[in-house]
Amino acid sequence: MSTIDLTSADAPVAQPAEGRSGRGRRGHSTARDLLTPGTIIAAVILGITILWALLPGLFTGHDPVDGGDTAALLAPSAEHWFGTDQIGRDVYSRVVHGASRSLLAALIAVGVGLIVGSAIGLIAGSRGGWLGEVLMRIVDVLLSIPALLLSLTIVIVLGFGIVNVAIAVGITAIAQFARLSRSQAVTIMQADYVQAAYGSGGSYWSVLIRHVVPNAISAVLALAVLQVGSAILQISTLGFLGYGAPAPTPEWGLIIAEGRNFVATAWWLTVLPGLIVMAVVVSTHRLGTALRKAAA
Amino acid sequence: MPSSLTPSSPALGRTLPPRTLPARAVPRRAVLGGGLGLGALLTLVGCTPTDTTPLPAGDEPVRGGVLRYFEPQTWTTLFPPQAGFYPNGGIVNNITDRLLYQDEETLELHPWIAEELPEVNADATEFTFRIRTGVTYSDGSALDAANVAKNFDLFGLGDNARGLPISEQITNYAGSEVLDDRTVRFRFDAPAPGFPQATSTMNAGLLSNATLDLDSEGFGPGRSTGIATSGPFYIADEEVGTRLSIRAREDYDWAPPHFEHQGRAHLDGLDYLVNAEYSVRIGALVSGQADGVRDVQAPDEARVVEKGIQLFAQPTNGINNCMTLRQRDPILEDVQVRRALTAAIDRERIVSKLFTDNYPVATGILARGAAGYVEAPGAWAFDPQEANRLLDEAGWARPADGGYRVKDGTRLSVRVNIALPQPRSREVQSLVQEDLRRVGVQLLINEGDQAQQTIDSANLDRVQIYHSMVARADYDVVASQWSVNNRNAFLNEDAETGEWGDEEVEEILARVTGSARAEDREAAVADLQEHFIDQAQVIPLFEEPQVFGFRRTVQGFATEPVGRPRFYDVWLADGDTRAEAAGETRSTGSTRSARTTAAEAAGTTTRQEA
Repeated sequence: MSTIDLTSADAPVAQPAEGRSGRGRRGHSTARDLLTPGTIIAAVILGITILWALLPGLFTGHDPVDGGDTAALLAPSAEHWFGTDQIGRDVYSRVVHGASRSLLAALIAVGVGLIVGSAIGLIAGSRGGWLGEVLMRIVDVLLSIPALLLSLTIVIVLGFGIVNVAIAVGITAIAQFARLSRSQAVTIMQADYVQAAYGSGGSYWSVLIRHVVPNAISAVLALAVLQVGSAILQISTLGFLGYGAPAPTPEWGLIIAEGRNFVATAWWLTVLPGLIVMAVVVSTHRLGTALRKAAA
Repeated sequence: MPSSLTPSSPALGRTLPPRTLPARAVPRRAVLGGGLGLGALLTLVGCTPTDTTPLPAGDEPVRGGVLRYFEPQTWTTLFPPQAGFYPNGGIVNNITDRLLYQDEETLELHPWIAEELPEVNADATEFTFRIRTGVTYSDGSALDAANVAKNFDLFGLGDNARGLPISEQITNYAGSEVLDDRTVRFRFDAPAPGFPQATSTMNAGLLSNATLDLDSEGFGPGRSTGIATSGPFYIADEEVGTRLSIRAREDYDWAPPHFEHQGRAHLDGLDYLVNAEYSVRIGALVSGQADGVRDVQAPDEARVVEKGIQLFAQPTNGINNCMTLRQRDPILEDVQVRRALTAAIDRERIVSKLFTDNYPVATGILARGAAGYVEAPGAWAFDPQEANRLLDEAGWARPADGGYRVKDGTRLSVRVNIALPQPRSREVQSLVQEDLRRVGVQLLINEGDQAQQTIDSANLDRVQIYHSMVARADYDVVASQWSVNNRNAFLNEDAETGEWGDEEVEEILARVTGSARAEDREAAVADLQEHFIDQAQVIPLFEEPQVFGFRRTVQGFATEPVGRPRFYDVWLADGDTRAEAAGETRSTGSTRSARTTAAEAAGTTTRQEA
């Protein structure tokens, strides 16, 4: 997951607040940003994956957890698109059925990061003072611990299982969300309309809810889409290491881990599910980047 | 893979304002990473060579060469009674000598360090051995009757203070008596007919007096060069967790007398290299970085042979790979449930899916080559309808949606360990899990490493079905596995209340270990199997071999009766050329090791002259 660099989370700060006037001028380029061939392919891939998660039965007729009498380690064929795994289960079917678990876990992870991280960031950014300092130093500490190490530690404390893995991955994402939403909040708090809102008798909380949150949300949501990709990757990593769903549950990381002993004889067990994970991660990342630019 | 980059780059460049460059770099890097990964994979697929180099002519053993042998796990101790663990045994079997030698095929006993088979009294409680002369340990001390007595006093009685356990193969040991320089007598409190065989296993490997004074740490990793043995090889060097080097003893001249090969081992030595990742081990063998590996898995057998590698599948002649149902568990207490689980498992399917002809479906609780084997046709037949009927009858109702069975609010769920040293245990249990799910039984597979599995397996709340196997070419092997005094696979006795799960098992086991006559012991093993079948306590799955892969240049490989490698007779067809190469490296490389080797050689010569 280290290959996906999210340190540009503070990038919007670098843009001077152009005010609301910039919006109309950039409307056109926003649409063009979103309609490149790259984003369209990414959207299609993501769409198919979401359909896999919702309606796996439409895409495969094989049982993901019971291979019956099918031979083990069959090569990819018309009957078994991704071949069969080490105990004769259809790998494609396992990948399709695994989508719901991997995507759901990614959503939980991002949800945890989004809610907790944004709350910390917004309060720190809008309140400032010692509270802001303390909150952001905590975030700095979180940032200083490598994400995988942190999530491993949390999983060991919480116990194994896909939901716990999702929570652990979510906690590692808190820092990103906190920093982005803080920078948004700091910018917004200086805007004239916020001063005006205070002037007309608004309380801290009403200004936060009415003005800061709605204006900060688009950038934060764009980061959330970006984070889905890296969350899938992190969850698969933890699944690969054996901290995720117990067997025989189909889960992407676990599928790859179980196939890795057969790389030499049955490469498709790791390569094909690996390509799927890669495609989904790259797609969400592509979409996330495009949305971010549109929101900026 | 530059082509994969081109379609996306111009598009991005055209539409994105320049300030977003850092963000744009990310997908490109991902694409690049993917391309590199794919390229690496293709390269790997492309370079799996086949060993076709012609072998030097001649059947005469060539002296020289150091064999590189890859092990999946690192060894834990070299204390012989604990050599049952495969990596330990693979070393101990090659550095130690034993009183007797057991033929791996006929299972007959031959003299080795003992000049002849022991004199045994009528009720098999006294054994008198006569020791051959001229045998020395690698530290220069002599192997005499007093030393042999000291060995068995430690193996038979253990020493808790030093953390050295009793050998599970020697029971009821009372003591030893040195009659003269060359004669020693062992006494037992109860008949111990398995004792002569026990002296032939690697668990009774002889150690020098100084070595016998070590504690458990002294036998552990990091201290191995301090262990002195009398075998054809001695431990020369060690890197903890990575490598153990054994070298041939120039003055070795006490192989079992019936061997054709006498004197020094053909090899100059052997390096045990630990490599935990299976695919890397097989890759190293195929590419020639390793001369041999232990544990070639069934799916790779065909491919490995295709690549010009020799396979050795050695039966382990003990208990079959099996699942022990712990009847002290509240669910498995019911014999109906145990019978249902037995009927629900399709052993043929497991073996045909996961293994090859080297892994026959079990036809008894013991392997066909094991002492005491009795065929039990149809005892573990696959019959899912019967399984369903038994479970319905036992009151485990299946919910309408076809999920797991429930009784009084409890789900029919049991947990099994993963037997990491055993072949493909996880996959075996995954298939058992499928079989049981079809009849509405949930099988949980206990995740974790070797240490975790050991801890959980000793806890009835964690593991209710115990998957394992034990090898020893003697009737006593059943006691090693199931007796509460040994491995206690059933966890048969509650340590707190003293309550038994099934005391009859322990009584039969006592008859196996304690009867003086071989016929009585054989009958007791047969009784045990009948009891297991009647009570559905043990489900044997398949006969477990040890499968080794060696390059074609490796000749003369053999194993002892339970499948541990023996390198005494091994020689390398290109050993002479390899020895020269090694000599060059040594002279230019580490001077320290060269000096040590020279000093050792000098020491050996002095001893020989003395």
